[in-house]
Amino acid sequence: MTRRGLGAYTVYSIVAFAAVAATLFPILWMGLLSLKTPVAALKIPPDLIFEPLFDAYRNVWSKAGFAQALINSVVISVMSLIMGLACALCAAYAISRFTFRGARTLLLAMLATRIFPPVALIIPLFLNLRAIGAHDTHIGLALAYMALNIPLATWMLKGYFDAVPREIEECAMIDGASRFTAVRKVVLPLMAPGLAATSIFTFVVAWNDFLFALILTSRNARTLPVVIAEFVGDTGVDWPDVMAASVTALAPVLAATFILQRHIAAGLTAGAVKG
Amino acid sequence: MRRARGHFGWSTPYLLVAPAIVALAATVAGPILYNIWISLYDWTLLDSDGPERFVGLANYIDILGESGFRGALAVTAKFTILAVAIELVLGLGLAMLVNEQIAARRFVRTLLVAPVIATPIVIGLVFKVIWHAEFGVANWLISLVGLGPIAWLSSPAWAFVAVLLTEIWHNTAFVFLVMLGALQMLPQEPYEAATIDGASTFQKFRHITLPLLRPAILVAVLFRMVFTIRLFDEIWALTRGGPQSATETISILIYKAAFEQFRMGYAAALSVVLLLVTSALAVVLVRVLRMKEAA
Repeated sequence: MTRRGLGAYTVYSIVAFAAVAATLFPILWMGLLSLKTPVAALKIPPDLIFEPLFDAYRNVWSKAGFAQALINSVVISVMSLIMGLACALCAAYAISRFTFRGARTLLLAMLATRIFPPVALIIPLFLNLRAIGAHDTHIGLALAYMALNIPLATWMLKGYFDAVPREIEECAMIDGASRFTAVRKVVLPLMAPGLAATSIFTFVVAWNDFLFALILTSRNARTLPVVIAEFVGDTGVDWPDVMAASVTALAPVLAATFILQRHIAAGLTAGAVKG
Repeated sequence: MRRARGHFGWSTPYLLVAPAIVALAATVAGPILYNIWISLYDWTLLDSDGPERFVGLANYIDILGESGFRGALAVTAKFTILAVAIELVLGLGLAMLVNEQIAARRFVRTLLVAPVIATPIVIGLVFKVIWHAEFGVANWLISLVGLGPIAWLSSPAWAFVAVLLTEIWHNTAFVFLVMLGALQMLPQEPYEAATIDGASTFQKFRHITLPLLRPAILVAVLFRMVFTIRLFDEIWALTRGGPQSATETISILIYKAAFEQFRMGYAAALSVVLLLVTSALAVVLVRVLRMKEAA
């Protein structure tokens, strides 16, 4: 490397590490505060070296509603994942493998749906769910999430189906397999990584949502994001508890981000960027 | 092209897309139509369970005439433009940096992406502690260089800045990812030719990189715009639209109208307006993408 090249290498690396530090700082700070006592968490200047305590995690777990909210979040996210993915798999397969009228319109309509602000759907969804007695139920909230996850999953899955040559399933069908068997035993295993990525994305859509859960539930089906936000009242916020709860909610999402790596850009821009 | 129909009839693809269409009709199309209908009524949820009095477009006229909406529109527009512009510059800059030879490149790339799908309400709450005027770490950090303290969340101007910085921290990662993907697909030949012709680094960026990145920039900008316009969670956690409506976006306004004041007709009309604004952007997005497909 030339001297000029070495200089650029050093400067670029330093700037990149600074950017990494800025990116990680809030996440690390959250973790740090979750290990402090409420008094230590408010100390300025903050103690950077201290004895970590897990009291906040114990507190949060024993707090009314927290464990229930965590279970609700998992149950509702899984429910919406199963329902949304089932619909999206069928639709994506049809769009990828058949030529039929309206296929293109349907895809574009789904892309447009992804762009609609969820807040614009919230009033009718609230009124409809209330009218059929599904307000504050797991299934009601999971149904609402299908509005968000079907378009996303259909676009992602269509791309993954397109990547599997149709000759492969035709071969299986010539060998006597039904179309369903050919898809289940040959195509789906081939696109397993894409299917996994789509599932994780679909799960995260529901897991991360705050607005729908805030309005479409009141007690029984409250999810983690809403309950954590409720910890922050007007007076006397116990920040280590809030941060411990935040770590609990964020950990699976961060894990998903690292697992998804290769798929994340394709998923986030599904429909816009040919992956 | 040969189609693998097997022994299935023409109806197979329609049967396969039916569940998705039914689900979206129930959760998206139906609600949008219902919303438009509600928006034509004067209806206070506390008074009755159904729309009360047909008022035609009166809710829309109210919206356009009220300073609340105009304020929220201005906040939303200002916020969206600033956030997306800064995210674009930072995201593109970081992507170019990571595309260069740097130490621990894959490690840097992986970590820079960390916030990209982080739970928005959690990010809002974490930053609420960071921005806290008395014991927040932001004021401590700026005090080290002799600045502050700043009333981050209680002064209208600073609250806007705090929410903006939070949003930028959260979403630059998305622009970074899209830009890095595009940069890695760029052909090498134009750069080699330009080097032979004696072009400067800036000239190469201006006349080769930027034009080639144009499609990716459009995708990143349009995606960030439609997602920033709807911003709700982080603002809810940080300021709930305050102080003095300084951070009150249209989403927050809709929430307050519907679920704090229970003015359903008015809130529904606001939703329709937000939908129209975003749809206009959606049309642009789809047009741009079709253009790309045709090219």
